[in-house]
Amino acid sequence: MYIALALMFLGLLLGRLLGGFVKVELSKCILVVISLLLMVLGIELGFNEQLVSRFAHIGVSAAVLSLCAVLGSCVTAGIFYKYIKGRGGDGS
Amino acid sequence: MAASIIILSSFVVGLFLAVFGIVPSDFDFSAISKYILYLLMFLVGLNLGLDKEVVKTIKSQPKRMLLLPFSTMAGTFAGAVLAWGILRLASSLGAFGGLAETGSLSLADSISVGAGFGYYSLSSIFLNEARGAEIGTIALAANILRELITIAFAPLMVRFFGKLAPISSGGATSMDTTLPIIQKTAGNEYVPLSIFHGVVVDFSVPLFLTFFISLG
Repeated sequence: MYIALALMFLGLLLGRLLGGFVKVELSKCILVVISLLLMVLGIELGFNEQLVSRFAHIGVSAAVLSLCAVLGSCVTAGIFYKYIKGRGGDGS
Repeated sequence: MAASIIILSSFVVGLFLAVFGIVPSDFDFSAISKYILYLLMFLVGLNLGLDKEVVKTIKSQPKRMLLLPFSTMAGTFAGAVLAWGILRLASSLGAFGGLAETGSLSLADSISVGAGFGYYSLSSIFLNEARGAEIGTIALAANILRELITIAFAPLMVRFFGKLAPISSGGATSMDTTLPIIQKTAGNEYVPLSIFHGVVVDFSVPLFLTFFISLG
């Protein structure tokens, strides 16, 4: 995973350096790569019979996890909002 | 939304390719996914580096508002710990018809899934590589759901938790897929903050994942 991180920072650095000279639309490129990756993930998953039979378990775990994550971040966002507003309007 | 549909369809296509045996099963797909992940990470960094607007957006924000991503992270991790507790309890009580039996989901895994912050493609790929296909798939489903829940419930979030709630709930997606609904429910003035929030949270995903994965 460290290689992946290092490559991201390399990209960031390169982007900063090239920023003034090159104008490219990378988001389409990224979409293609992500789609390709998800397809490979789908293939890996499809071959894993044990996993295919556990789809319902995965769904329940995922639903509980996402609901709690959303609730948690909403609660802290609510507290943060009150704190910002309490300390004077736009918070600047 | 169009991008999400394309990405999800690719996943479903891959699933069918395997289930119906259209692609050979003795091929090492995990090695391929690793190298595509490297390419993806490089492109994500490059894209962020090339975008001059990001720095401008960050500079235009009121100072204290810039702490919002940290509030999102704290809330999400608290939620992930709660979810792990609920799943553990439900599993031991046999609730949800026994479906809450979590198998190998550790506390670190639960927080790792939360640390996807809605960035389902990257988090599922990372966790698939590091923790296996089951955790990877939970990460995929949970983070897709996070995006969908945000889009569906943004108006309620604003009413009960204030205007920053849909931004936090959107997580890493607050700069793209959930931005339109945030703009609609919280207002135009929250768009720059939402983009800034998305960029910071987005960037934190691989950092947190690397950290939590190392905890096992």
